[in-house]
Amino acid sequence: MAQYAWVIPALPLLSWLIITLWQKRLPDRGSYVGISFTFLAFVYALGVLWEVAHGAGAHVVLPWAVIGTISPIQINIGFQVDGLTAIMLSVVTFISFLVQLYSLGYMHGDKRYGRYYGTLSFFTFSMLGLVLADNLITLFIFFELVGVASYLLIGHYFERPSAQKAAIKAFITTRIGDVGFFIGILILWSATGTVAFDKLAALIGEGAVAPWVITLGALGILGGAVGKSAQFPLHVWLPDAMEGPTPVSALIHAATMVAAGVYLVARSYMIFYASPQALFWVALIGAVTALFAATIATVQTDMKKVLAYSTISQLGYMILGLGVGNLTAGMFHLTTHAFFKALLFLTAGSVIHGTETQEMHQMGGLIKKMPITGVTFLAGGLALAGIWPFAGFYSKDEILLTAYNSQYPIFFWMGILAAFLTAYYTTRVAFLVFFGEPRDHHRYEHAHESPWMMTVPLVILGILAVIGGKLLLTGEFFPHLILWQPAEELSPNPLVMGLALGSGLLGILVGYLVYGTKLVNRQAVIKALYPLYQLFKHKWYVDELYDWAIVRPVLWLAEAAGWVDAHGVDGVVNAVGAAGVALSSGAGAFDLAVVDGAVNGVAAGTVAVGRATRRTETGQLQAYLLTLALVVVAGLIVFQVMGG
Amino acid sequence: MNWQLVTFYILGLVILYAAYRVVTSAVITHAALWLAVALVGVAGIYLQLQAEFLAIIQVLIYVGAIVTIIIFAIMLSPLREIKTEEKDRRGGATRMGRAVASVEWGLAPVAAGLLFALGMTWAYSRQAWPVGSVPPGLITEPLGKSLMTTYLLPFEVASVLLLVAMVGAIVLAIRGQK
Amino acid sequence: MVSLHGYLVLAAFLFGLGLYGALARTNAIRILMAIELMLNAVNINLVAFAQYLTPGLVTGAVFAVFVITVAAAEAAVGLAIVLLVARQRGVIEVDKINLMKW
Repeated sequence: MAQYAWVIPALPLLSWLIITLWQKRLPDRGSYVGISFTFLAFVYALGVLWEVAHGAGAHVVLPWAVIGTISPIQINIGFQVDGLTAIMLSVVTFISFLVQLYSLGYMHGDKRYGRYYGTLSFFTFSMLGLVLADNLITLFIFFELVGVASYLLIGHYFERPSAQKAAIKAFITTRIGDVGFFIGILILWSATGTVAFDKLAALIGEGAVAPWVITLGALGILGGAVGKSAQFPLHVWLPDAMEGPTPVSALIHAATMVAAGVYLVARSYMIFYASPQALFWVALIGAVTALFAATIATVQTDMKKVLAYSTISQLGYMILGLGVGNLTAGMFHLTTHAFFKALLFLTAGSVIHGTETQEMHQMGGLIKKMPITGVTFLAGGLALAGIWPFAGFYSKDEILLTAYNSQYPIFFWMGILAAFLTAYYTTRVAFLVFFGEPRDHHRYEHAHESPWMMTVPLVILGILAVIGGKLLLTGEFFPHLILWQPAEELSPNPLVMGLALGSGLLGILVGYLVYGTKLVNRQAVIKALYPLYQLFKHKWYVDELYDWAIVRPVLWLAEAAGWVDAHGVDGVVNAVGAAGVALSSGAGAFDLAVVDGAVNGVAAGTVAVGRATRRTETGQLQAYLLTLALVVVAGLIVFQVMGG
Repeated sequence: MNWQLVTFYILGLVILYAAYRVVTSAVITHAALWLAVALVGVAGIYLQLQAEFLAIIQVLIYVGAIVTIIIFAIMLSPLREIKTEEKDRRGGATRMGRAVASVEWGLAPVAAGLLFALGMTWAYSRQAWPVGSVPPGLITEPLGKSLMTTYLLPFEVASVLLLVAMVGAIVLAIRGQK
Repeated sequence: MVSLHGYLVLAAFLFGLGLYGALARTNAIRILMAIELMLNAVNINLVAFAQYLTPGLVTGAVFAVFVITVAAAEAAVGLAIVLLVARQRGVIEVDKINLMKW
């Protein structure tokens, strides 16, 4: 089965083609095609996972393009299936299937319904292709295709200027990272002559690659990961990407595509692992992002924005896990995060569907109106906060444990602080949205539970958010599947576990005190921490910084160039123009007398000739044919007499 | 007496007489049938030239297909005068056509053909052509091989051309029905 | 023995008859038939030259095959056009069709 793993991306590709070509003729604009094909892909992916878990694997390479003849460079295209791939294949197809099912309800009646499903299929195809890629070039291609799909889906409501801007911002910001990624590929390629992961691993293992090449290449690849996974400082696009439909946010901007950056680092981990400097940067970016995004999430009032910053923060955790040398933990967190964050976004979608607003200050007490959504949100929230025995606890604990044992304990404390903040803002959302008194009675009265195709995915994901962590660890299933050989077995540390759990519980307690009870005066807290509040509220002024440091100078430069253009270049142009006018008035006199005379003469001559020859144009086919025959005969005679 | 030469003369006379009737007979259906005779005669010439494959496709395509569709076209045409016409015309109505064929009606084509043939014969006589005979051996095998190797691209283009012609003919015929 | 000249002269006569038909007759279908005659004359020339001048090579015969192909296509499209014109304008004489003059 693993040998034919290309079937998995081929299925959504096929469904994309079918939906794009025949959406108007298909029942319900082809949504069932997308759902059923993705389900088939999911079943196949599970089969592959089962096979890989029993020791199978596959690596198929096909020559794609050969450049040059003397010393040809061959570019291969191929796919490889191992534990990492198999897990990602299953996760991507699973979440994609649930999200498409959910969209049946959420997107019902949308005017670009067919396009939406087609693009979702296209995204699934690209993401699966990315996961299967066996070399950097193939991976890069699918990396970009995923970006295109993301662009199209963020801009789904392209009538809204904010959606247009968000789509462009996402595309350009990730592109900055991709440039770094491509430079990294080129460095590695020129130094080693290969881009295939297995060959790179072998060369690095032999010590045949210079350390600085490895470090530079790894940092370049890290650039791509930072862009795609919305890590600091390229995180700015992800909150804006919430302009897309909420199921898209769940699939692309929470569970799968943003995980592509993490997957990229994991896939090329042999490069990172060979360079301690690169790993340090990975860990630093991860830790900073985890903490930084968590602080912003505490003050957002838009439900989706909170989740977006939460996603950035959790991606930071994954990157941190990889950076401190624990591939298994990073990927484990990726998997559990895919479950509970997709769940949280889908519940947010359900709430938005029911109340038609994203502002949390207009919600409140909704658990009575939307019990399934509320309960599943609590399951996802507890998993996010890392409370035992929910899924997030196991993966977060692994990462923090490795960080605690690494060279840089500071990363551990940053992680603990971020965990506290995570629990705090999750509690805040829960109390603002689902508990307490309804703040907007009009919206509250109209709120309703969502239809079954939306609640079924919620329940499935909710169950996974509760038991997913324990389930994947049953019989050491996950660690065996994705095992980074040099990582030594870490014994569980009660201190780390206690701190992680304690910080989570503390966060929930503080959140409860502030938002669940009236014991703490919120305004007083804001007043006391006013500078910090402003800093978080303005997202650490990163957007303003970019505006001030990059956008303004570029605009200023453009204006300066415009001024030079207007005053310098235009002066020269005008002078040339004036000279031209003077010259041409002289030439005009000559023109009138001599040239016009000649032209008129030619015209008159032409008219005369035309008058004479129009008689031959009879419109009679045979006359033309006769002329043709006569000319050929004449040509023959001339040829015979002259040439022979 | 050389039998080959005798066959050639008989075939040549049949072809030329049939061609004469094609361009002169008053009833156009007769002309089409005479065309079939002329084309079969040409197939005989191909046989004499050891080009048996061409002889076969000459009969198949020309006599079997082209003459048939010409007769179909005549039969299916809504115009009566398409079948019997030109009885009162002597060699065409255009001024230039009349000028060329101003001789007596039956003699004009012979004169034109003769003139052209004489001119060409004069031209040919200035060249030193080999007098010998056609090499023995059948043509089908080398023809098929070269069609499938050297001339593969033209061969495929020709097939596309036929397809386009077929589609075009159908489209024109359907548009005419409206 | 038939010499190359024999075939060439026969083809020349056939071509001449076809040329006359194409030039002097006005019925469009007859013009098409005359064109077929001319194409046949050309084919005889091609095959005769190929067999006499380049024995063993079949280029001329290949050419003749293509000519026959094109002739078939031409007959199909030509007759379709003729019938269309006859239906729509009620005439089959080419000298009454002078749309090419504007």
